[in-house]
Amino acid sequence: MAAAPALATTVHITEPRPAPAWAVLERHLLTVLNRAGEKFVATYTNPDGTLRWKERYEGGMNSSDDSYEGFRHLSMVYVLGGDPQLDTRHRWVWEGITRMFTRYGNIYREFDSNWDWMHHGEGYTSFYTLGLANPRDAKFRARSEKFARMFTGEDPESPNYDPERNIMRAVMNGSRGPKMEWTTRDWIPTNGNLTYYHLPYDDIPGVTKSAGWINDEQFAVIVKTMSDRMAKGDVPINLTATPLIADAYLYTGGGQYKRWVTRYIEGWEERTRANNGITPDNVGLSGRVGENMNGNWWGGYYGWRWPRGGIDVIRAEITAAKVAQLLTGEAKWFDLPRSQVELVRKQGRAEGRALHVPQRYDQRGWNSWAPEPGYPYIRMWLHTFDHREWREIERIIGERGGRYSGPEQDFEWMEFLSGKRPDYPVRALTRDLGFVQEKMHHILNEHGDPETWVDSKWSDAQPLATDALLRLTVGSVPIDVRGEMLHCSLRYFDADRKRAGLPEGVAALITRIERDAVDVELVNTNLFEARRMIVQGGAYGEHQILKAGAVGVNAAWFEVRLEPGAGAKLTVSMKRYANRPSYAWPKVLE
Amino acid sequence: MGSPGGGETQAIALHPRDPLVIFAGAAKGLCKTVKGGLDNWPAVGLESLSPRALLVDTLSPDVIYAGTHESGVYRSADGGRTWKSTGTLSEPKVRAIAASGGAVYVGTDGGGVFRSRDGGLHWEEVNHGLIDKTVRALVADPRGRGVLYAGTWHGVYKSNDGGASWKANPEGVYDVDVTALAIDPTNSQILYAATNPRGVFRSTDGGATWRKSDQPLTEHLTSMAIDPHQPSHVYVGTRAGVFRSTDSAGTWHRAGLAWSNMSWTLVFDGRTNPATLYYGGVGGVLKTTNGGKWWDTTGPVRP
Repeated sequence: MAAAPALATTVHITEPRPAPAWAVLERHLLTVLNRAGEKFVATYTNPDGTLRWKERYEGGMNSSDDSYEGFRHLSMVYVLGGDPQLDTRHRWVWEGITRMFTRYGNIYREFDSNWDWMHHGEGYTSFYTLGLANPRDAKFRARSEKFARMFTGEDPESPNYDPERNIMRAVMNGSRGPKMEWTTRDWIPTNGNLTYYHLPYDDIPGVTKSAGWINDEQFAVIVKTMSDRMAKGDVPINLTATPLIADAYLYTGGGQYKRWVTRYIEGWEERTRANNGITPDNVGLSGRVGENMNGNWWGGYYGWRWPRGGIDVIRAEITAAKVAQLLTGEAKWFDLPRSQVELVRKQGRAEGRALHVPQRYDQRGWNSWAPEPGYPYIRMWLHTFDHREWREIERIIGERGGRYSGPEQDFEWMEFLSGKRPDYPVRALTRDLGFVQEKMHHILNEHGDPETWVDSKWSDAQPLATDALLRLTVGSVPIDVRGEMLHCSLRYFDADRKRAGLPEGVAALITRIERDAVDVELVNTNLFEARRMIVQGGAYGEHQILKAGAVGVNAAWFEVRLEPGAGAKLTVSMKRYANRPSYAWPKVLE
Repeated sequence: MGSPGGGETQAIALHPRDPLVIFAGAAKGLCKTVKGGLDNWPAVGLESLSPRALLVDTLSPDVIYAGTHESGVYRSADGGRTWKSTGTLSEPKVRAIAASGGAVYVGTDGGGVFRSRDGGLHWEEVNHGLIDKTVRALVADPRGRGVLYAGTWHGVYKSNDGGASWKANPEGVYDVDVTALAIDPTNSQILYAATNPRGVFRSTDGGATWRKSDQPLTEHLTSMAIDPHQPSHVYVGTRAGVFRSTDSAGTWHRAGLAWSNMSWTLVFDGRTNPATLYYGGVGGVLKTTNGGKWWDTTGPVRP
């Protein structure tokens, strides 16, 4: 990988450019988010940073994840160009939530005692943004290393990882180590929600209905069966731990973290190869697939038979592949998730215009056909720029006929990046403004009883919309809340104020993303003051920028000077994943 | 999903004519199902107000009153489609609601009892004699016009004059936290009081005298209901599930949901046979028709 740059290259933008609608909206959204974030925090927290919530919380393993998750956008808005105060508040709330759940008994040594990595991922998505926002916060840096060691086998009090067999020892893991047996107490009140999904197994003695979850005797039988089959050993959802380990690497550059990430993923690659190309969703403590599952490679926790089915396996593999590529610069890590996506797709059948694929696998074979989720292709293509992913993206665009919902809204963005939907930026920003408006209506009229709120209250209430800003300004999909970190093409810093994010008044719009280049429009909407900013290749300086417009750069970042009211479109050519990634900011900002 | 509006369900009210229409007060607002829950309990208003006491007018079922966590009483005249805040209460934290003799009464957390005789346009304090103004439960005698019972932090108070005056009984349920009251639907002289920490009391003479359960429940009691078909069958919700007595609160046995750490409300629907007991609490609205041997969800299960 290339050495860090030493000297700044400056691109001077002087051409007057009346602020286009997208730029005005972008700046307006950031302004609105600043106030919304403050109001959100003020409404739902106590003066000491704890949450306005129950005096006592009797959740079992279900712990702090939703609380951390609800405030995850605070620092991200700052990283994108919002008020630095939001980052300060994020850290303050983090401390409050940690104290609160320590008092409840769920958090130990500042980390969840025992929970699965679907939920750890939800909670610690918020943690990674703190490194982006301030890599010099010694407290969070120390936490990052402490947390990582809980999963790399270096912390004797948290022996979650078996280095000999290269497996996590349990599905439920955390600061108290692997949890090898489950009780009903662990599943309260989660059992109330699980009542609305199909049962984890079809052969639980005497249990035929999901309502068994809420009937005491059957509840005990369900949990005992799950504990016997699921608790011990490893599952693919544990791949979601890789960003936590990468987080420590991004702070420290410690090679042991990088080695752990790649080795752990390789373990799943090997198991997939040995299982005829299908990622097994359970591995026993001996390292044998199906050890506690009657020899079946399916049936594991958040695995192929779980209510949501194989998509959870694939999402975890994509999350891990992104991290591994960031740390090693290699795209080969996407072979694993791509193989699983293709495997599922090959089972598909056309229904109308759409391809339906099986969501689950169990003793009946593949089953539960539903429209193929398209977003994994985009999430992979933005890293691989592989024609195989792009071919499927184009297919799905054709199948959907321009109508997208949920995570598939990324396809609208893909169409925009392909030169279609010129109104997309304005529509996306307007949509996010509408989201903030709707949420603020609730927040400003909040008179609810905190005793009745469930742990998803803050995620439901939070008003900070970052989807459009992430796509349009830095070229990232919205971060998968299941434990992803930010991966993007460009990142910005205010060179004058030496802070993260777009300088005040500056708007950015990425209009093309390719493997070797992006096009970005930069506009200074301030007609009276010039701005200086740093444009960095990738969230962690991992991309080496070769040229910005006609100016040679050959560094991880360059400086832009924007005269009042000036704007321009730059083609930024780059070599992706050429540099060692780090949370550290460009030295010019020190 | 299943759980009305997300969060815990604090209040349930049945439509007097259509058993499939049920209202639930939840953390996110008021939810109304017209399919017994299978329509996934759509929210119909009062977002972020935590309605925790509901009353459906038995004569005009489109008229609904909702007492909220800290925002007074709201009223709908169109079956819950639209809501209006009613007249001002000097204490807006409503905890209980009842109707008697054409008037609506609310019990509040600190302000005692308020009465409205004009459909909520105006409220008047009716607290004469009510020493403890933390009212957690309020029930009206369906046969005795103007006869009401209030469960307070310090015992049961009774009014025989529509709330104009209240009287506690020092020999009865006194100086104890009363969290729920229930009147026998077949004999309004029989009523029960759920207390903490002394368990359930029973009166057979309209509160003149009380008798404590032979087997006091040690769990924290939060709600209570009587089976309209078998009035000796009494149920209490606790922080450790539901308990059932088949001998008029003499002895108690578990009736399921031991995992539930909060039962905000229990409501019987006697129009089914056997009667359906609805539970509101952690997990939303659940129901049983066999005395708690088997509890079922009220929402749809995902495919």
